[in-house]
Amino acid sequence: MSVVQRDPSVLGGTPTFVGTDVPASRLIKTLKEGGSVHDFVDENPTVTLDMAKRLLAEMNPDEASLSPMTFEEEALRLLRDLTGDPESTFRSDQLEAIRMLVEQRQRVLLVQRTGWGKSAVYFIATKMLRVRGAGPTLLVSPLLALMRNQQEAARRMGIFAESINSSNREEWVEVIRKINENAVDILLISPERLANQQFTREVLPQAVGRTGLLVIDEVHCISDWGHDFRPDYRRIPSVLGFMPAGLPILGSTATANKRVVGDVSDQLGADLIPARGSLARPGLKLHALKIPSQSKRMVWLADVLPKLPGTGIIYCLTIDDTERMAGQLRAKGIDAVAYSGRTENERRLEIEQRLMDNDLKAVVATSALGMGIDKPDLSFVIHFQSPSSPIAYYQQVGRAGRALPESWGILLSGSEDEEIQDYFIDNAFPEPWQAEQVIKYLEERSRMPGPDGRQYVTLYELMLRVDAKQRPLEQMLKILEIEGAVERDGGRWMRSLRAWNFDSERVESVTALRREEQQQMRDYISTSQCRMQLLCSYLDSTSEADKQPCGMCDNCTGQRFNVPEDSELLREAEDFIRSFATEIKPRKQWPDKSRIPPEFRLEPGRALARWGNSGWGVLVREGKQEDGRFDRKLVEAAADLIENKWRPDPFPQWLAFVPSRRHPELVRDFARQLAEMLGIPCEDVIQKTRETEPQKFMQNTAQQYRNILGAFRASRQVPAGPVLLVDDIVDSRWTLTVIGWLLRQAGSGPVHPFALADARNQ
Amino acid sequence: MRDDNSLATILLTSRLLDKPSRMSDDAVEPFKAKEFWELKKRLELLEQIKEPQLLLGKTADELIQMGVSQDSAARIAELLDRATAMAFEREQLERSGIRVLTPFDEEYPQTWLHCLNRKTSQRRSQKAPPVLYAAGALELLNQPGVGVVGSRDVSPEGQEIAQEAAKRVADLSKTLVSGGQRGVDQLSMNAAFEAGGCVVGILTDSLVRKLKKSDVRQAIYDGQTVICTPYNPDAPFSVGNAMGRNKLIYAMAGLTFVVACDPEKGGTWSGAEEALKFDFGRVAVWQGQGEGTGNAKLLERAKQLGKEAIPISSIEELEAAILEPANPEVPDSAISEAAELDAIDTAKEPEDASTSAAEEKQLSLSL
Repeated sequence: MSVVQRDPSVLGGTPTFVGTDVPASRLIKTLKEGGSVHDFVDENPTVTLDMAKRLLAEMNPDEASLSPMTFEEEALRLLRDLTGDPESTFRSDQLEAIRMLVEQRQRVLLVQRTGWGKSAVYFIATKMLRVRGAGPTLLVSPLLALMRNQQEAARRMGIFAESINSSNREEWVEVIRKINENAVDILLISPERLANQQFTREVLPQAVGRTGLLVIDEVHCISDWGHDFRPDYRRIPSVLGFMPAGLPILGSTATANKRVVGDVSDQLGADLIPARGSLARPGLKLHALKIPSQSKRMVWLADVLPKLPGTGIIYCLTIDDTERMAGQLRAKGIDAVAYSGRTENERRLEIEQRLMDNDLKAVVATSALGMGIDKPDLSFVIHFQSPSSPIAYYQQVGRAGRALPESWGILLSGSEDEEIQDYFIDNAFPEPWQAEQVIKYLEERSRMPGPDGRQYVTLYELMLRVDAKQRPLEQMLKILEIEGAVERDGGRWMRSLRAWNFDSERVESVTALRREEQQQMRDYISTSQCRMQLLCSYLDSTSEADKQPCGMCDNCTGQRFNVPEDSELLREAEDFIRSFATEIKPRKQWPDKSRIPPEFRLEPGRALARWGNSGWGVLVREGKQEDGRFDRKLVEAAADLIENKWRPDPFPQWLAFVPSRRHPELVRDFARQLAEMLGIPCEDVIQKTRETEPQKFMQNTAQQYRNILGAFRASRQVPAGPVLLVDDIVDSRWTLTVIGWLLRQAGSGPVHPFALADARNQ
Repeated sequence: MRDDNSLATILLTSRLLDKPSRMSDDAVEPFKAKEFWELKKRLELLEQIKEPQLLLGKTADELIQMGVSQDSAARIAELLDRATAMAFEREQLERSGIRVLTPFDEEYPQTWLHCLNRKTSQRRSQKAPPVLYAAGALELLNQPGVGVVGSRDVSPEGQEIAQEAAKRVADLSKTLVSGGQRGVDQLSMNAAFEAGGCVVGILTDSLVRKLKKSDVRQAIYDGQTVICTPYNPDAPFSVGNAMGRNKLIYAMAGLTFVVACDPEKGGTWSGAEEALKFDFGRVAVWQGQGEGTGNAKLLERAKQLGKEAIPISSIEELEAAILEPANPEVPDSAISEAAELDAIDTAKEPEDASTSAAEEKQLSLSL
């Protein structure tokens, strides 16, 4: 049995000698001050000589030798326990950080590249603080769990880690019990937990009762100067504002950009330990290629991927591209899977595991894949489109080959890059007038509650009054909630009691910075200079080594990839894009959340193409915007899709179409040709009773619904069988949903919607 | 910027982390108001500490070495250890517009420190609440105010007087100080709002719930009110808290107008009597239609105590009392006199003796 107890009723759980209130640390202190075990026992008569000696025996042999130990010696011993290597030594910044945290209980911001050894800092600081009687460390990190090898290493020095996150809910009670028993040294929670009200209200206070050290990983996410500002992190600075001195805080990031680092250290109120090391990644071969056409880039990938060794990541800017490309690569026999924010959690974990195990060739991902991936042998990172900033690019490409002698970082730049980047830049912040519309309406409702006394407002009510699309509106509400301007109760919103002003100056300067970064990416792609050198200069590297050419990149070596001209392959790729029909999912609710009865809903439908620049989308746009009629090829492609690929069941016995008063011929003409080709009658059964605004002018789904409500009527003679409902462009799906409902009401069979192009989420 | 003295005070005294869900017997007990002020005094004598903020980041052991007593050291260390949980809790509160103030914050009502911590006797000294939860226009907490109090079930004439009084307070650009309960409190608050005046509401319970009410929110958006409580923002009603709260109204208002009270019983009576006894603030008593059955008796009681209560028989007289400069400092003789009376009186203080054990806990916090 140990001679030391941790009884919360005695000195708040500080380790004490069993049956006494004498802290164990006092013995070490006596020894350090040059006293002996006997001196200690004389001063503390409640502790027997035997107990004191046994404690010494339990401690490391060095500690038991009665020589006092310096801080550095103590830390070094822990480092060697941690690494398992009796020869290992500290980097000077590591020791400095530990000293600031443990001795001075300061706030520290550590800027170091990934793999530098910051976990050693917080493991050792935790252990030293624990020995001195502090509570457990709270580690906020997007990593869901410590890596297995880290955990084992920590255990070697007597540190026990647990985590609380959305995927281990069933373990929470047990974890909290362990914390209360003082059996946890590091508690890891994910930042998204902090944004969950129920969690912070009910679980967190029990879990973080007596935190001795707070560690915030990827701390640059609290800054909206940073490329990946995360709303979940935004609460952290305000929480820190309520933390007194004396609670050591460690923020860590690999982002060295001056502006971000300055902002973060201000917000943390932390002393900065800047990165002194080089940012350049030896062995990483940087390449950049301009290939404007998507199809050509696909061909290039299909050609190059099999030639690259090992496993890697292909980053895309949009979710659609990840899915489309993974599909095409698989069709070419390359083992690739798509990964994005849309991927289900379980599937994500599975893909991450396969990536770790090198059990596939490539993960085609959005930026959703990254944080939390610690794979030292990733052999390539390819970008299918250019990311919006050098920091974002460096962070993603820097995941390649950390422990490999040679790895690839290839940036493909396409014609659509800028358009997508612009979308992200323009939608990063709500428009001031939109935010003001929201606040004004919520205030009005607070003064004049609804008939049931309700002050909270639903998203639907807001959408009818605020000219913003649903997603940006939701995003805006999230930002307003973080800023404390609104309060949320489930899915309803209320103006908070705090004053609020739109900080347009900040928005303008952040947007200007984004434009500057966009220009830097253009320059990175077209430069003839060493790419690594240029990238490091964008990142404000102060290292002399980073000012030298890398000798590895395409510009240094003169070795470049070929851009394929093979027209056969190119045609195949284009066909593939063309064959990529999208599904039209039936709506199940009206905008006010009331249910559409299943017998009046649409069946799942199809859109032939994406509206825009690729595949059939080009012909659809030309037909609608230039020719005033759709090309015969589209009729053939539609019939082929419906008869051979989609095969709606029960198969339509007749065809209806969405009438237009503005262009009465466009869809009618197409519908008639399609009906003829399918061998079913085309019935003109829907009338438009009034002119509507084009749906694209409506700001959101609630306004779109209101726009078309009552604008259509079904004639009395609606055939009874299953029907194909045809329109040219599908956007909100409200037109199709309402007409489908009318047709079913009028006695038709199941309604299968079909559109030439899908214009959603462009 | 961050004030570590204030943060330390909150950690030492606030009951924000007392959650029913985590009721365990070994939970550390925050310092009660009286204990806090005593601790503060003792710390001032310690060479190495002086201020609460210097307690932060120290282990129990270190505190003992700095001269803190063995008992207090463990309790202090344990309370201060909860900084992280408290920070999250406060962030949540601030998000819903509730600020946590301590005597170290300039927004804290300075008159409380002056009136309530004045040394009148050993027992009655040092009673200003160490934490105050407040939402709205905080600057009102330090502006000259007039209290209007009365029992819940006041007569229609009494209601009218309360409303007229509140309107006059507003017209004179003074802040109305009120308890925010049903009856006289609510009526006078609404009358002040209607007249475009400002209101300080000092609640005994349910701050969070009160802040959900649309009239209160409107007044807050318009900068017309501050609603505050020294008790937990979600505390339920308790008699003990109500008794403890009354002195805060008198001490903040400077002049408090008693519309109606019952003779020698009820919260209005005991609040006014206590205010007279310990000079928390001037007391004006309504003499006219709608007055309570205890109003005349209250004037008599003042005489017995050797104190002045101002009889008011018209709104004009009230106005004159409001505009009259506040009393000069209470002379020392008055203090010792009050102290004696206090010593005599303590034996039969009904609110202390009759409270249940559960209320006892609330009461103790209630200064």
